[in-house]
Amino acid sequence: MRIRPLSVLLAIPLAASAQQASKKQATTTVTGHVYCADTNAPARLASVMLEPVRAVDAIGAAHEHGSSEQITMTSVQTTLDGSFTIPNVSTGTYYVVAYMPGYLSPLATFPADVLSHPSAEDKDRIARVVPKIAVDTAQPASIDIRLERGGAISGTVLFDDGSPAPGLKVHALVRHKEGQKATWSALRPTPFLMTTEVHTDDLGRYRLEGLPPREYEVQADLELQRITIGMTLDNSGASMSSDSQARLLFCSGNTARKRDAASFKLTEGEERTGEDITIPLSKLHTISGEIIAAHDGHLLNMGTVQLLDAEDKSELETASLERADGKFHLLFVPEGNYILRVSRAADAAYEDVPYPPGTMPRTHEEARVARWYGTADQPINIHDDAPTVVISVPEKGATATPKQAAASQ
Amino acid sequence: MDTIRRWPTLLLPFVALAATAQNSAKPGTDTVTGHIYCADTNAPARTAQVQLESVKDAEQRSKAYSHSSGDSPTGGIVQTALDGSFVIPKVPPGSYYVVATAAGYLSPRADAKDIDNAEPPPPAGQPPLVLPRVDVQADQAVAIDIRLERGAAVSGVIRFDDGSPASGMHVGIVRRSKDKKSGTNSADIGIQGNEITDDLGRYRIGGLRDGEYIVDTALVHLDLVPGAARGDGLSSLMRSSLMIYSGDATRKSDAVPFKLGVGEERTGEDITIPLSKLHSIGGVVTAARDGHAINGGNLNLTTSDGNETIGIAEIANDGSFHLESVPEGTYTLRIHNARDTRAQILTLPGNAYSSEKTVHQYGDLEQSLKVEGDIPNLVLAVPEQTKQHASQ
Repeated sequence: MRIRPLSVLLAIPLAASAQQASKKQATTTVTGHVYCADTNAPARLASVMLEPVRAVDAIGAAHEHGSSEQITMTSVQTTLDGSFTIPNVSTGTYYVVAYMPGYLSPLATFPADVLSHPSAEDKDRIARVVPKIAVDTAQPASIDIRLERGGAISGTVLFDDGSPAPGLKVHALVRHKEGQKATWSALRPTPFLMTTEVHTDDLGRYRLEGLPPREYEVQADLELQRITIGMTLDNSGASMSSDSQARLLFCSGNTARKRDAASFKLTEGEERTGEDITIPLSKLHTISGEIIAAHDGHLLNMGTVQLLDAEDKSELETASLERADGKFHLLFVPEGNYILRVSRAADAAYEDVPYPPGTMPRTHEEARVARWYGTADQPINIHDDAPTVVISVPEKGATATPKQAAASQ
Repeated sequence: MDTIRRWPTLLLPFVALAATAQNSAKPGTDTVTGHIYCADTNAPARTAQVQLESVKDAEQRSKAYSHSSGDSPTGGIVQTALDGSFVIPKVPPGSYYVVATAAGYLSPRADAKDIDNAEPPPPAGQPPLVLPRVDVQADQAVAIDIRLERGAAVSGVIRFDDGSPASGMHVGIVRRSKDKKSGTNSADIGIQGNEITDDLGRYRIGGLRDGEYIVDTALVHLDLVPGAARGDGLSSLMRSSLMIYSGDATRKSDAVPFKLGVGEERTGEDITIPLSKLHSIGGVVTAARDGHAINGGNLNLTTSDGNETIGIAEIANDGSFHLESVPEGTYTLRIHNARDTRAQILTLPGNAYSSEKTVHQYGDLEQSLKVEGDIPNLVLAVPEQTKQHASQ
């Protein structure tokens, strides 16, 4: 059975347990209504959760100590008149978190990294914007909540030959200040760990909604994946694993370079359309190549290559040496200047290790590293496919002298 | 297998395991390569999914009259590159169907989703669509090109009768077969649709074959409640569910089907949920012998002819039940699997698990119910289990 997307929320790892099942406590019922502030209509089938204030306050502490306990919360849906009933609530103070598609969740005004590592100041702001309720088990408690309509961004992701790019993941990035530096981070317009991923449809269209007024960039994720399926022969168990063969993020402004991305301001409740992204397919090239040892030129059979922007050293893509052909392949490389950075390069022996009898595939490969090598940075200019790049890596501990990649010229 | 078919959206929880993916070529296996094209545009089908399915497995599945028995795609699932090309390495010798899927295009895999369950399965050994097939021999590479036909699509808005959009609703589509039988089954209730309406209530379902269809949506109240033990995840409790069909019908037999032509882009297939004509039924289920509240069991409400289920709900921990959205009419209310349960907590070092233990099982209850308005305080007393039931 499929349930609403919020079911992805399972157990929320937060500090300080709120509901101890081992011990029977006195509880009461919290009731209330959720309304849409823009229409004054009841918010039907909205989700309502109670989150102990103590738990939110302790998030930062838990991260610092590297431990997190799990607590679970009840999440109820409002009925058709917008009313809700949450049973079995213990004494305490709670944030009341309501969520409905298209509307602002008060917590959504905080970027994800702020929510997971809130500063004292952030906690203060959370306390101000999120409705709170004090529950005393001696009597039932009640609260009404009004949800503000959020903004929305929609558009189409196309390839530059005009055909739609379906099934691509699309995210909204928001600008926020971290000290002096402005950074962009993903915004999740849903509370806590609820995930609602947005993918383009078969016409390449996407829509991001429930957004607070901020400065945004939209990012489309062009990724090729390969799925490996393992299972037991009697079909009693199966597992899937996927690995990314190639991945490149395209930003608003049709660019893969973060610094060239075009940002825009979304006003309160704005319905912004036409935020299209064109993926410049005709200007994407591939880089393939090998990694050799500097001291004797022999081919290495293990290593990772990062494609870095030559100017700001930001990473665009990464690839590992493949077992099938011993080469690395960067499949989506826009024209420009880059640095190829090799790390984790090694001579390795690969051997098949059997899985327990009755599973498919029967074996998997494990690598045993015989010798590690150092890292190397190699500049490269890309204006066409570069099929035969050779990067040499020094002995471990040494640093490579940058050399222009001859193959691409 | 459902998870695999819905791969694009469900993929993310799986952690990338780079080490297992690319093994060196095994002796006696070979590589299947090819291209996927869009027949309508002649453009390469980019980031389409390709998998091989052993012909033998497919035959066995047809014989078993089951759409869902396990078939493991040999060599996993690959995505086509930006030129539409794909490579599936390490394929053992044998005959395979090459199953390609691209959003908006016809896929044989759509069958499991869009064919009314009343339709008989295809004859043994015959796949529902003519699937491209390859024969892999040891150490001989095979290449195949496939052209995908554009499917029809249907879109619309789900809204309440006061005009507000119904967001987050699951929308399903059912193809009417020629020898359609009336009646319902478990797949008709609950939540079957893959598509979810956006915040404006809009949905779109693509990649459909031509034919006669009805769209349905489920008005579901689902609460997530914590498990009994600490550290348990949330489990869902369905308070009530009502299906609404094309033509704003609350009964499938009243649904207004529509026809889709080949590759047709059909818009405006809206559904209005007749809120003002829906009523709520609430109450408590007790044991007839001593009147205590029962804390487990299921309710369902069927049309008085017994042919169609209109609503279902689960009994909550305190014995209460709520059917939030029941259209006016005369129904049969049935309680089944009524039981007293106790949460068991199993404690293992560092963790605790809960499971539900049935302490006492009750018999079924069936009664007629006329709904003309809200019914807030219905008390339903379930009898003891009869000897016949108990021995079963």
